[in-house]
Amino acid sequence: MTLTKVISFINMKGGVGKTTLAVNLAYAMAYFHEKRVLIVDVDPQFNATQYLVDPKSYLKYIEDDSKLTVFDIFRGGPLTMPTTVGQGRKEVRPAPTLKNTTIQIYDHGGKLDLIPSALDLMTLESSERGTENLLAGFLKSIGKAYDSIILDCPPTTSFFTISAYIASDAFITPVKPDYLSSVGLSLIDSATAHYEQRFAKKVKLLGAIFNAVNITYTLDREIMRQVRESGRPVFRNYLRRSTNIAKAVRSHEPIFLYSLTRREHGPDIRKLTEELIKRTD
Amino acid sequence: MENDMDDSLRRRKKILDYLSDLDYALEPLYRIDFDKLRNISKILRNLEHEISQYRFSMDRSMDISGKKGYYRNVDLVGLLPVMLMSKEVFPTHNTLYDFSIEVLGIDLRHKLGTIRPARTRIVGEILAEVVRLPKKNLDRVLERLQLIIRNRAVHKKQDFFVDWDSTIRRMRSEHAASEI
Repeated sequence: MTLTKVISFINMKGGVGKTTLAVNLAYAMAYFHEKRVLIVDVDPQFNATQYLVDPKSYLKYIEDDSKLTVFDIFRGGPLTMPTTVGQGRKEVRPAPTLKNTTIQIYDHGGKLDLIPSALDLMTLESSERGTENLLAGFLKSIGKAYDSIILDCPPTTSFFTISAYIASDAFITPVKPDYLSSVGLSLIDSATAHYEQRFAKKVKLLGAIFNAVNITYTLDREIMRQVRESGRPVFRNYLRRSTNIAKAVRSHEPIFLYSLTRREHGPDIRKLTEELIKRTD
Repeated sequence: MENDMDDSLRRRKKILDYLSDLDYALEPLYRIDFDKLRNISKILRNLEHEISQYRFSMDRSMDISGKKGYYRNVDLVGLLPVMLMSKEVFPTHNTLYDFSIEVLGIDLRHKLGTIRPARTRIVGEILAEVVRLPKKNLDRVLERLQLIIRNRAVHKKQDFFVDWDSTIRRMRSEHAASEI
């Protein structure tokens, strides 16, 4: 029996490529390795959702009361309201299940599903204690349907990052080869040490993945060397810098399929995916 | 005298051979129906309509909340050559080669040699391969075409920022209204 691996993409620093890497590695696992992959957008900015779904389809999805988002997972059971006659309550939104929370993105051999995020997620920031376990409980209940579950986290140490940490078996830290971004690694060490103590759960760091690398720059090479020498696990492969990657996002296409990036950056994603699978096996 | 006769015969034979070759070369022209040629603009218009119908079905198949499988009803045999020949969908020969490698796993550049082949030749090779594909791989062809067409549609009709900006604004106003 294959165990489902829940992997979070965490970095307190914004703009390091968490979403780009999470979406592309999840897509590549489904496309090249025929894995059943679920990507959960835990970020109130819902960038992973914006990457994979066009706005028209998204709007149609959230306007349908039978379709749920990650917000409903954090809400727990079904949403009920008092009936007009004043007796009992009627169900307004059902309890989250695999069927009513996922959007199918790719399904040929392997498959990629998405649990989209929602704007309402911002209102959950000051949630009561205990709700941070809801995501872990839900993923456990649907875990058999997938080989891997990827969680795209927001920057900063928020309720959502904690929920993702509790639900995860391992995490990856995307990082850019610049000083502020690399110092963020020390902040993650502190945050995860704190979570480890608070929730009595140790989540394995699979490694840092360098994003937006220009290997011809001395500074990029220098920072990558320093991080590797710090003793932290670092992926051997990395994603190179290109403005065309933003165009792939605009087209809602993975980097390895988009016409302007598939030749140059497609191999980066393929190699990173192979390394990720090796590290999780 | 005898030589002159031979020469004359040889020339006559050469002319007859030439006329025979010409007759052979012009044979296809005899089959052209000039009445049909007059309707060519109508045929092209129909073709255009067919392509837009195909796009529509592709868009619907991407409808996340709708049912799957619309595109399976489309006549792929009739439309695949039209799509592959379309310079709008596949702007260069390289895009056709990429399509062939990614979807069929065949390096046509290698197969067709170094001489630059006509677009029709590349399309013909792709079609011949598609005909031999098992059903599972045919799904992959459809999936890829779907992505390419959607990509073109996105480039033409949508703007990532403007569309998401207006969507979020709309969601925000609906959210505010529901709170009141």
